Amino acid sequence: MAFSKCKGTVLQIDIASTMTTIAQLIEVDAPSMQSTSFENLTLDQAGVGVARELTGYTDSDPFTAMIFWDPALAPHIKLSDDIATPAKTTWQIVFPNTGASEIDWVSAGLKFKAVTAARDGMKAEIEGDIDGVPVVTA
Amino acid sequence: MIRSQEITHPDLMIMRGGVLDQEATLRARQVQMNLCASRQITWDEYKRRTSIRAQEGHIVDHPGAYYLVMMGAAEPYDDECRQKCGMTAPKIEAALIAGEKLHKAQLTGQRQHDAADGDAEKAHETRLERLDG
Repeated sequence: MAFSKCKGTVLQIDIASTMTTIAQLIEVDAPSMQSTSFENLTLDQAGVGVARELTGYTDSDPFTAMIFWDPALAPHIKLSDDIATPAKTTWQIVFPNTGASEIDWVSAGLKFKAVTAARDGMKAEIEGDIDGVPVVTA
Repeated sequence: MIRSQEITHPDLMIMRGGVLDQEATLRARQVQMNLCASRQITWDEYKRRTSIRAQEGHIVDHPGAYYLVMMGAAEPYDDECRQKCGMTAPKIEAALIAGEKLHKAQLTGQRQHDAADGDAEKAHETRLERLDG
């Protein structure tokens, strides 16, 4: 059993087949994973509980990240380029635990939004849909 | 030419007529991801099939390689790359120095970019050792 700090977590994007760290990361929410189900409730059901069955598919909610945005920094430029010229991309989060655990996934649609506020630095929000199933290491 | 770094495994790079087919390469990676997600291969096996450790000086032959130069992770190998990145030689040199410092800082989670060299290298090695099997 161990409690790991988050400091040192790295978000990486595939740039030119090279896993490249996105600098100035503030926070990142990894894609959530869910085995999907449907209600198979019927009028002639005996019990009172809502019955559900598995669809056999696993779905993922989008991942999100927040960065201090540097419009001149290459990995940040790459994010908006992948929207201007839509392209699927490989991502990974490398955690700072001893075994350097990772979550890998492929993004489909991407969203990039610059955020400015009087009492804050220039930031950007990143959000992306997941294509397929993310892979989580132990 | 990049520093020692994790790159896509050559077996996964699908070329069509001498040109890298990025979509096909991505699909090949997803096949391995699915195998790993369904526990048909171990995570270590997945990682070894999809990534390798590129040694320092490795030449990245990719249409987007100039991004690596722009972020100080590589230096241009040919004129095409030099032209695409749109940087002068001093700027490339400055980017390499800044990129190296940032790289080490991020590996050790030091926000002030003052990570000790030893710590950074250790963290980097842990991640790359897995690729060597």
